[in-house]
Amino acid sequence: MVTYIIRRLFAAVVLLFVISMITFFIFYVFPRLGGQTTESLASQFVGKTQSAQAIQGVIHRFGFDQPIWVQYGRFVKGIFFGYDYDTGTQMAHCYAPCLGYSFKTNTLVSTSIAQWLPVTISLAIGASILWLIFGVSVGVASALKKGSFIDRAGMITALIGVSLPVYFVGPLLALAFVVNWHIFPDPDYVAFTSNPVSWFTHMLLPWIAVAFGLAALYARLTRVGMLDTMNEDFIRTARAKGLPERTVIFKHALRAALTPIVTIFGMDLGFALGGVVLAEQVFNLPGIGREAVDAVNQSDLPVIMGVTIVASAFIVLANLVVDLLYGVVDPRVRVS
Amino acid sequence: MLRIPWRSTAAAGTALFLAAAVTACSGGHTTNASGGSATSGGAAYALSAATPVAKGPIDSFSWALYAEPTTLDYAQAFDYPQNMILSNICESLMRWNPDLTESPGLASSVAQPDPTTYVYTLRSGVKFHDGGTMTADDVVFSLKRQMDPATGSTWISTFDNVASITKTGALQVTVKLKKPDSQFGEAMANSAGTVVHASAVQAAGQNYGTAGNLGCTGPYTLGTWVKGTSIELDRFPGYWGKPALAGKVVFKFITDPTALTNALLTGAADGGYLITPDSYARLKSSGVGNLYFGKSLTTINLNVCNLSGTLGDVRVRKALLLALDRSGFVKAGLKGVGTVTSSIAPADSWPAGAVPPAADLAPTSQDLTQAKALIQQAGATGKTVTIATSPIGPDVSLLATAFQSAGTQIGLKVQLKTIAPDAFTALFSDPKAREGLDAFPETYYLSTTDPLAIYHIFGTGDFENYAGWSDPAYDKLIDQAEAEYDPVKRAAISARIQKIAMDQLLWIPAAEWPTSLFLDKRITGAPTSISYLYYPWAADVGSAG
Repeated sequence: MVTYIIRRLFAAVVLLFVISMITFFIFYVFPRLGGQTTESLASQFVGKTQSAQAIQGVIHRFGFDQPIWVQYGRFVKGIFFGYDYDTGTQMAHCYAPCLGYSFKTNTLVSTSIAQWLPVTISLAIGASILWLIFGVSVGVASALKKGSFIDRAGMITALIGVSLPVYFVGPLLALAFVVNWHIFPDPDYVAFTSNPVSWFTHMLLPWIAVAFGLAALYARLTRVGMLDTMNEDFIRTARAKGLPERTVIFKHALRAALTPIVTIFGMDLGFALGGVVLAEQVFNLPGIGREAVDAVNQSDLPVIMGVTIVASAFIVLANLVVDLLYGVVDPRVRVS
Repeated sequence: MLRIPWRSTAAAGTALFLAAAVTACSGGHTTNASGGSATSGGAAYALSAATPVAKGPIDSFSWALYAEPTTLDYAQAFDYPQNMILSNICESLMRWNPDLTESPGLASSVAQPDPTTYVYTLRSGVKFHDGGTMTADDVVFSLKRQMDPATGSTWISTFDNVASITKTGALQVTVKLKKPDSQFGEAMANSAGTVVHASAVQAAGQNYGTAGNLGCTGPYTLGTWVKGTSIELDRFPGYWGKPALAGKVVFKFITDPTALTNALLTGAADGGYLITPDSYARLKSSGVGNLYFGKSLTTINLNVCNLSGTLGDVRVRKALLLALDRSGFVKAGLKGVGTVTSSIAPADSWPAGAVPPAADLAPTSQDLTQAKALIQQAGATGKTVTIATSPIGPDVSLLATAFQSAGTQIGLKVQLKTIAPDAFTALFSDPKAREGLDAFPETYYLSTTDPLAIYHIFGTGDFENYAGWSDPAYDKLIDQAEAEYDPVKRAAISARIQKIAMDQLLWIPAAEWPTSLFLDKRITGAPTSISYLYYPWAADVGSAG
């Protein structure tokens, strides 16, 4: 098992390395292939009134005058060893894991990400709990009462949920529950450590908005999985042994039906931790998704790189955890 | 100065929807919006000279802002987010008042012993936020820093005619000019004239403006800056002027227009400038506060950047102006809050009684017949015009689409080239970014109350003279106007300059766009005019009840 984990971790590092190369290539090389010069790139960071001297200063300061492979090498070196950085007036050291300095705000990318991450984690974890609980519950209820009113109502709701994107559900919820009925406060991030109650009330609407669509998806998946499993031989055997129906359903059927749910949950959670872009934008939450969008709009390349690496790490890690959980959830996998 | 009011990801889609409305709308009539009510494009609105005076102090208020500033360095402050905040922290030698006049700021007086000399006498006992006292040395340092190419100041062109800046007394600074320059004196009321504590800037080095002590003198100090979320300003107890009414101001960065409007409706933010036009009706009818419009010195234009293409023929440019349904643009794009115009200089930028007659300008109504005739005379039928558009804001995408519609109606082949928001910003500064384009939309506001501030752009070699146009006669008039210190006489020269510029149509005007301001019922006192970019407006905001 330990060997397996080490092997997977090594593969994850290689994967992140490849991702970083591709990202670097997309944002540093593609624009040049499209005709962008180092001068035009630098001109975005010297204000409106520009001088050739100022542009050359930025080119040198940001390292645009160096070959691409040197720039990439400096980025990788920074992650593992840190590097010295020219602030324009003095040299500063960026300690490992150094993701560089923002071109726009002149702050450490890692520091910025550390500020944004609690927001995204709060949103992703809270929403994932909601979508998992409601999605699986509705799916199980629908499967057990197939064809009933509960089943039909659950699946119609699921269909609606799948069809409505966050940028529609979010403003709608805000309009109803915040603006018109004043039930919830305007979504705004309050740190859990400063006020847990306020954190909860401010995050509830974003959680619901994100969870609605995914809960619908999970309900449909769970329903299908449960219906298939309930017809399996081992369920018939369990019933024949005289086990109570509750035990048959929750101990045997649900566990088996959960395997694909765990798979997709891991990926969804990893994806959400990488930045719930639309929800953060709609509810004005300063998470890494919203900041990534801003960084792309501002050509803030170090921030784009940093956010991509962190988001990728979450997805890779989530997949690793899912693989390990397979054995726990489904004994058949453990045996194999 | 450039205006980039929205960064809505939904803007492009919205623009496509609204574009149809632009092409469909017509009619409406225009009256001068200065100081009163106006109608345009079929909608009506009123400009407010001010909001009701605050009745007392308050602990704090919150303010919605569509974007986070990247820096609060006064030398880099050239757009709404920075200036709206910085105007309450840092001050200039002169002050731009809510009625858009100028008065002494950190300088108690200014004298001009001869046309090439400004002598600023400084207020005594003015304290910086870090406890130091303002001296002439600080003023010299602050102004010279703007001139240093290493600073990369946005305001460096203000100092083009400056020969020297010297301390001539304990509280006196003398600026010597290479030639008479009325614009320099006016610019000392905006960020170009900001005074900071030299030691604070030197101590912060390259990090100056990103956090901590800014070494300024304004009614508020920079408090907590939570990147991506908010900036807090705290009342400065040692302020030399009238103390701020609110103990704290919290600027909240809300990038999504809908979320920003919701924040205003729910009280999550007490107020905000730069309301998106799509929210005017909702906020106005909400009953939770008041929506105001004010003087903005802002026009929305199409900037020609290539005179060797189809737009090189002035008849084609005139045809585009005549074909553009400006009334429809105001109605659809600005929700009726704006006025059509045939001048790129806002009406409010002229001294009272010195506004040139409308007869000097092209008519504001659409005239497709004449436009088509001009295109035929120019032999431009079927020729291509490439206009940049971008999801950077609906004003950009809507105007580009409106011009596409106008051009198509008169026989031009108008191509829209969509450019990413970051690349669009580069159009204003990088000639290479403008390659392949004939024109691009820009919303432009003035930082001084003077039409010359916009017409100097077409002077030979000016960095905003995107088309590279040159006319020695025009340059001579610009020099004459800059050398004229009497505002009315200068306006008379500016009127002649305007005649040439608007005959050439290097920027094709579409509309004037007032400022917008929303205040909930808890607060009042904020100015309605664009002065908030340089005037310490937050200090006037207090309790409404």
